[in-house]
Amino acid sequence: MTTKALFRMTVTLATLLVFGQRGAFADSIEDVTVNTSSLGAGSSEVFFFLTGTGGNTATLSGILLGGGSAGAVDLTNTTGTGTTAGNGLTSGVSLNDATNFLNIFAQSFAAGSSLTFVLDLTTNVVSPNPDQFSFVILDPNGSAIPTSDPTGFDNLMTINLDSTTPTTNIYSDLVSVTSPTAAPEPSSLFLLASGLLAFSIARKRFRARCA
Amino acid sequence: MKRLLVLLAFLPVAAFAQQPQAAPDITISANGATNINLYQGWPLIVDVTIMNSLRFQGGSAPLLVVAPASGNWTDAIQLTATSSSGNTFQWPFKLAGSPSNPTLTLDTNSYVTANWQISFSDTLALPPDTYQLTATIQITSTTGWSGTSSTSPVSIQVGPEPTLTQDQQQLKTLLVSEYQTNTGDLDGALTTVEQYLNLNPGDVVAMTAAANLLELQGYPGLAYTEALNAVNAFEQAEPTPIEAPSNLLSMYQRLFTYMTTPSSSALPTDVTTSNTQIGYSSANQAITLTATVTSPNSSSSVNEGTVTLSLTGVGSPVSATVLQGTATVSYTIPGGTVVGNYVLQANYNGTSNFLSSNGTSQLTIAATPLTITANNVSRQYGQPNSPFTATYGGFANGDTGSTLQGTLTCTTTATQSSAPGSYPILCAGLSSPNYTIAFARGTLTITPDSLTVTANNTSRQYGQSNPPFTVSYSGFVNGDTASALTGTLSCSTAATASSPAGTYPISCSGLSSTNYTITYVPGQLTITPPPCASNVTASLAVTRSGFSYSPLAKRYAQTLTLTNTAGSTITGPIYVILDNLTSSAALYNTGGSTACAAPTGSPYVSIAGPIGAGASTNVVLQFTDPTNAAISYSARFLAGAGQP
Repeated sequence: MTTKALFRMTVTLATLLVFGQRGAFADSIEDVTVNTSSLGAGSSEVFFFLTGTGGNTATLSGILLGGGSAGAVDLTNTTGTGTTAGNGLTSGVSLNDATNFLNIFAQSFAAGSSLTFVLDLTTNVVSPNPDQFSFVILDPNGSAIPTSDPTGFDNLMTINLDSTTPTTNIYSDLVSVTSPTAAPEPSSLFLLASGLLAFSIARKRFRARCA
Repeated sequence: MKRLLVLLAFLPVAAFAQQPQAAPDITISANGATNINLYQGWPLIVDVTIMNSLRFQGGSAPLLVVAPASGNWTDAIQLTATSSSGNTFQWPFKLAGSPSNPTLTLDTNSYVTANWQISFSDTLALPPDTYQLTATIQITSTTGWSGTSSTSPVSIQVGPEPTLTQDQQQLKTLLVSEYQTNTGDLDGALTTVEQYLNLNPGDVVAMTAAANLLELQGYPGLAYTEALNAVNAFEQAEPTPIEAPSNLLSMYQRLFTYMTTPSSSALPTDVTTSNTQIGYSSANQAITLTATVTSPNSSSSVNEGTVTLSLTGVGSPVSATVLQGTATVSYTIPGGTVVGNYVLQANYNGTSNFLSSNGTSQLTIAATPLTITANNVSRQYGQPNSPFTATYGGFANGDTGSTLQGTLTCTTTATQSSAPGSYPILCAGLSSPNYTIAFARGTLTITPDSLTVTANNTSRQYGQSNPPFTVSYSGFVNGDTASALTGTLSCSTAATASSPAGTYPISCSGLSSTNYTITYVPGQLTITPPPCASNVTASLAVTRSGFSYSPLAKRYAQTLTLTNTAGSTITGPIYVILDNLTSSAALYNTGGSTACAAPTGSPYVSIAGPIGAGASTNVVLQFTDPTNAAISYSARFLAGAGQP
């Protein structure tokens, strides 16, 4: 292998390491906050849905109840694949539609000022019916918090997984969503550093040979 | 009836003795013989003859005087029948003939005959056996002969009546008639003989008996006729000419002489005939003509002789014997004898007692009523009158309408345009001297004509309103049109604008007419299917959302975003059709299923539209699926007028 060839290979590898990190950001990650202060005392219930056949996974982590407390899991309505019996509002919720078309996790809670969680959705796109993540909160009377959901189902938010960068549809002012800034992962940093090191060595050898 | 006496066979032995006093010799016969077979139920006629035992001594012999002590011969004469076993039967003497005097005086030339009439019931009571019949006279008298004298016995074999031969029937008839004659029942005797003659016409013996009985009854004319018939019957029955029996001939000759030889004391007679009027229809039928024969010099009725009745110029004369002053004939007026007056001539031929005479009267043959009745007919309104006919009632002698004079003309006031109703039919124009013609009216009944009102078939597209219905008329006559009808025509159907495609009857009513019987025939409204809406699938880009789920409604929802990619507006309504929808799922907010555009049976949701060129619109679909299986379908889009 010549020095020139080695240089080229190193540059290519580094380029792949730098620009190839895009693939590591394929999931849709949202920070979701719901103002639950208006729910009042009593047992409310939140329903998380993942429907479809795309084999996607919805992972809810960092769930905070804003001073509220988690209640019991609604085993009647909880169905499908994912978190079924555990205290999801404390430990996190995971839903996967690889097996079942309808996947629900439902749990009651005593509302605090807000409900926040980090939503991580894989984005396997299927057509013509994309997978969808949504959630609904029932107030202590069992009524859904009214929203502008055009289906009439009072979803607070829906995400149709129709692309790798799906659009988030918010149907209530009580909901705010922010998308976190993408950050390199640790393995990616290692590869970048290795690439730069190799490039530096190659450059030194080339200069020495020319000298 | 007289019988021959067999005297010599019964000469008493005492006749050869020298006895100064005459005694009675008595003999008997049973049914005219001395040894007979008697069937039970037949009459038994026993003749007893009493004679002077000294009758052979001539005129100087003493008289025989027999006088019953009580003057009652019933006690003096006994009749006894003794059976082979010794049983005896006695019958009291019934004086039916001579002697009629209590004292009987007989010289040597005289004898008397009396008889017993043993009745049918008496002989029926006799058990079958052989009987010896004996008569005994027993007199105890101071004025004449006293003593007892009996006859030699007569043998009678009594048995049941067998099936009778004609000869036996004849014998029985003669015995019965003799029995009836002897018991004074001359009418019965004559009836018995006539009944036999009805069964055996031409029996000369019975005819002779009948003539004899008629003579005994005082009908010499009838007796003469019967005797003449008997002679003729005998001569016709015999293959070779021989004389009739002497008794018949002698009776006939005696009656002939009597009938044709008026005596010096013969009485004049008057003959009158009935003044008769008969109808023309009686011609060719038997009518009764009578003539009355009376003698102005005698109060007794004429009961003999013959009257010949004839109508001058009509038919043949007919003769009849005068009975009780009347001769009656059955006279047949020849057919075709016309109406008019005819002379009825009666000629009485006379007898030895009554002179001949004649008389006339007028027989009128009058016209017979004949009714000519116009036949009832019926026709429909608007039809012309058919030729009228008539029925004749009362024709006689084979006459028909052609035998009448003139031409039959029947008319009515009704014309072809006359309204339904009844109209008289009057006939006239025929006449006949033999008939008194009466014309009876008939009736022409005009019935309403049949008119058919048929609703015309029509059609329209689904969703449209019904068109005005029309009808067709069939059956108008006399130039009539619908304007001749009253009422208001009304046609209707059950189909409305929303009725599905198909056929619906159109019914009409409301019209009426006195001239027509209206029949309505329904028509048919055909509702054609609407055109299918246009397929605009290629003109719409579709973006589907994922499926939302409502835990409260237990339903799924999906939002479709339709974008018009065509260069022009897509007009509504727009049908979002889900073909091949997952079998376990159902479209909850469905607007129906496709029925026009294939594939049919797919559920759809409709939106009003339109969608302008480049514009988009959202459609929310809701599904139910109890199995929560994956929902899939193929979207198809129709738009515009027409059905999905």
